[in-house]
Parts: sequence; C-alpha cells; structure tokens
Amino acid sequence: MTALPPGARDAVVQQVRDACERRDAPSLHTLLSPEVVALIDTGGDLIASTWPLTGDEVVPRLLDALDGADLSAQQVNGVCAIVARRGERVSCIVSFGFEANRIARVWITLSPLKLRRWNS
Amino acid sequence: MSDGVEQFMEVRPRLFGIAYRMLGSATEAEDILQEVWLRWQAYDRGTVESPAAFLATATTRLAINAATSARARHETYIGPWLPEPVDTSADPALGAERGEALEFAVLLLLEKLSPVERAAYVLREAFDYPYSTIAEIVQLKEPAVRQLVSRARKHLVAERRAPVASKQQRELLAAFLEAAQAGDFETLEKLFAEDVVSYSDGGGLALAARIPVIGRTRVAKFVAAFASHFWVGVSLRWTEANGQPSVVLSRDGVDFTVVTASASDEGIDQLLWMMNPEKLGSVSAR
Repeated sequence: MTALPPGARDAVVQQVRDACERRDAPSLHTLLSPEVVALIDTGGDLIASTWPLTGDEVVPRLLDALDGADLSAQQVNGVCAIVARRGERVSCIVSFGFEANRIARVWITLSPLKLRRWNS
Repeated sequence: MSDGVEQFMEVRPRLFGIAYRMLGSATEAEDILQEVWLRWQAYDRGTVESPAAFLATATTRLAINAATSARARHETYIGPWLPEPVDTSADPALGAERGEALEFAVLLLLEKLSPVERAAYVLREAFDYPYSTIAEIVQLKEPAVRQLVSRARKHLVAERRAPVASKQQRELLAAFLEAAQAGDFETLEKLFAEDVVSYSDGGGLALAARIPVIGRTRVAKFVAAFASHFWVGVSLRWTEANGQPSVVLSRDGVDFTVVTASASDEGIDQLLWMMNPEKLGSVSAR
C-alpha cells in the first residue's frame, strides 16, 4: 500500500467533489477503487439504515446523498472531505479512505446528532 | 491559590484530543471535559505538582469508562457506526496540536480495541507520552503498557487488511433466510458450521428461546421448527449491526426482530436473534 502524499489526496477529493457537482458518474467510477466500500451512518435509524455498499452500488448512493446540496471540499478530521450544505445547514459529510492512489472507503455521515455541532 | 482556569484552558485542546480520539465523539468528549473541569474546580489544586499531567490523567480515565459503556451502545446500533466528524479547518486546535490518529480510518480501527488499549495507543502515538507516564495514567506497569501499545499497532495493521462484511457473507445470510422461511432442514444443516450457536435475546417479553441452541443439527431443527408461523407476513430489510451482516424483520410495518449472522470458512457459526422490543425501540442515536 503506497500512500499518496496528503496534498495529492486532497486533490483527488476535490476531483470527486467536482464530479459529484456535475453528477458525472463515469468520472466518479475512475476515482473510486472497483472494490470500494461505502458505510453510511444514519444515526441508528432503522428505516434509513443500510448494509455497507460495495463497488457499483456506491456511486448512485453517493450522488443521491449529495443531490441538490452545495458542496465544499474542506478539512474534516485533519484531511480533505466533502461537506454538503442545504441552505445554511450541513446535511451530509463524506470522508474518504485511500489505498494506493484510489479511494477505497467512503464514509457518509447523515446522522443528525453527529452533524449537530456543524449546525449550531 | 488560583482559580485553575488558566491551567485548564492551556491544556484543553489536548484533553479534547485525547477524549475525542478514544470515543470518536466530539459530543461525548465535551461531556468528559465538563466533568474534568468540575473535578478540577473541586480539587485541592495546591497539592497538584503538574496540572497538565493531573488533567490528562483524569480525562483519560473518564474516557476509558465512557468507552466501555459506548461499546455496549454501539453493539445495538443499527447500520454502520461512524465517528462524529470534526471541523479541523474552522477550529484548527484539534488538528494543529497533533494531527495523528484523527482520520476516520484510524478512529474506526481504534473502535475495535479495548478501551485501555485505545488509551495507551492514543497517548503514545498521537501525543508522544513516555511509556512511564502512560503506565501511571492507566494504572499498569510499564512493560504491560509497552505490550499493549505494540499489540494495538499490530491489531491496526491486521484490521486494515481485513475486509468488511463481504458479499459472500451476505449471500450466506440470504441463503440461510431462504432456507429458514422454507423450513428446509437439509439446506440449513449444510449452511451451518458444526459448532454453530443460536442466541436469542427476547428480553423476557417476546416468545424466544432463552437458552442458546448449540450444534449443526439442533440449530437446523430449531430454525426449521418455527418456519410455519414465524415468517408469515414478514418483510426483510438488509442492514448491518455491529459490523456484521443483519436483516431487520418487520410485520405490518413494525420491526420486531434483527437477525445477525457471523460466518467462518466452515459456514455460519453464530446466529443472533434480537427480539427484545426495548432494545429495538431505543436503538441508540450515538
């Protein structure tokens, strides 16, 4: 596992942000590893909770979570992440984990409790 | 004697950094800092040689306790649990002091360690505390702490390689559900490991076997036996509980059971039927 320098990772996340904004699924597929796994934290909500998504399941769900929101790439937990805002409110935060130069993990936080500090 | 505010504020970012890394929750970390502050206020501060060490010790010990109860909560958390994201651009204090062990990848791995292991690892790797100091904080001997940190490092490397719940596991659980609904004893037997255990948590309310059922044939019989009535009108929804493949069963729009299965190369080796209405109703929000 060769680690990309943080600056290069930030650039990849920026590309993901741009592709999400354009709703450009083909570009997203090239930025994510074919074995990518996405975990979605809905705050323990039984109805909205999902299984970890893998491979081709990830891009549609990611686009769905970010649909219609203003997206910014900014530092979350010390690394670049996508922060989605609807109006003034943060509705979703997407963090990324890398393997080699590709994104292997997508962590989607939707839990309102976990976004509370972002909205206070 | 001073009011202790200055000493507390000076180390506050560090205390928050310790508690947040150990718990993956900024909200809970703030609660702990509040508690440390109250204790610091009430303490005979004139007797404290190093306020920084005293405050770090109090924070770590409270975080160990909190991590123990958080772990139980996460076990009944429906769907994947993620750390609470923290803004390190607007409030750079957290990232600025030490950026180590702050990424989701590391926090999720830390979650799999015991609370004391986590404390030792965080103090050593994120804050560079000497082993002798960590030993005092977690109340262990220094060689034991060295061992904890080295074991934690190994765990973290191994975990990075371990895949999360795979498609294979999901297929196994799907095959199990199909056979269970059909009451297909022979297929059930084939899907189980020889020493499979079925646990039911009925909370004394729902109709459930209180005693674990053990062994391939017994569990297959047990599952096949309730096929005729249990599955009538049931709809299934895939999810994940505590990192394992799970299925939520509902009837008439009401969730009544979560089934979780774990598997090895031998087949399904554990089934957990969570039928406790209280647990299902109060699925933790953190």
